Amino acid sequence: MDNEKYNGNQFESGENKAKTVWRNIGIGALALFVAVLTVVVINI
Amino acid sequence: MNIAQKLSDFWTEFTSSAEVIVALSVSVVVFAVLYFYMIRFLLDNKSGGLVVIFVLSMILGAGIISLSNMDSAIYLVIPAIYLVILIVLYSVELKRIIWAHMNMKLADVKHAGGRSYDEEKVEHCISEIIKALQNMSKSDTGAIIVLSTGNIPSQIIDSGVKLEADISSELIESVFFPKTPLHDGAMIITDTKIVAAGCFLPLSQNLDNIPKDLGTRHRAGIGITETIDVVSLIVSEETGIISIARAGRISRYADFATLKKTLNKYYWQELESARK
Repeated sequence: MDNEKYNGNQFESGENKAKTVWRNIGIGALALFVAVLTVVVINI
Repeated sequence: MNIAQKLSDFWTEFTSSAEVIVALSVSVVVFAVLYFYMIRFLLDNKSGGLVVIFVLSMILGAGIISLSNMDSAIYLVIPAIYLVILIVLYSVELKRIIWAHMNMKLADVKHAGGRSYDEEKVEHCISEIIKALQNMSKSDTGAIIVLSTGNIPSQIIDSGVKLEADISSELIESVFFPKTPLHDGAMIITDTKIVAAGCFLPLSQNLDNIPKDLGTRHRAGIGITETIDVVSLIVSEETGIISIARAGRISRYADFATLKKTLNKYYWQELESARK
């Protein structure tokens, strides 16, 4: 447990941390796509 | 006007001045941040289906509004509806996030104060807590004791009965004695005081990682550690097994040595760092 990091509700190992980063990148890309769509639609 | 023409006009407007570029970019960033947290929250709560419906409805809505002469501001109704759904469906989860991350109103708990910690008194508290836990384990008396560093939200303390009493095994066992008014809630201990008893704790929603044979008491004991950095000591009413929950994880079959180690860590490390 010493080399694990507490992330709010679970202890996170290095492998899980990499998975979380990629998950966040995926969510970010999706969020950015929908945000661009929103701004374009409300401005055309 | 067709969509291509509208997009062409938008691009011309977008590139017309620096102010427009900045204003639209800021809008994109604001919406992206809002959507990011919204989507991540839904995925964290195993609601991937709602994310798919959200994205599809945004794409469909964009198509309908672009092809019709509707006011484009109506498009914002879609994310607004999703925000309302999110708040209504996940009010409990949102409350937990607020407790965990925002400046929550903490219970006014008096610490023993500075470094003038009386080692003898601490050892007495540790031995009394362990004695009570072991006695309750032997008699299959259900119990939850939360060891806090003063970081318990006041709502939780207010849900029970404030005691502000010195720690003693007799008092702990009396509180959890079946059929007494306070036995069904949690006891909150901070420093060398029993702050409150009979408190309601948020239940863990992490059903996948909790064995099916653990009941509501264990779910409450784990639930509080998922949102707040506290330790729960749980005695099973069915089996008398003592469990320790920390950071959303539970370890069962805690013996004397494990309890002693946990309580020593609480008194000599966690409380010390909370005071700094």
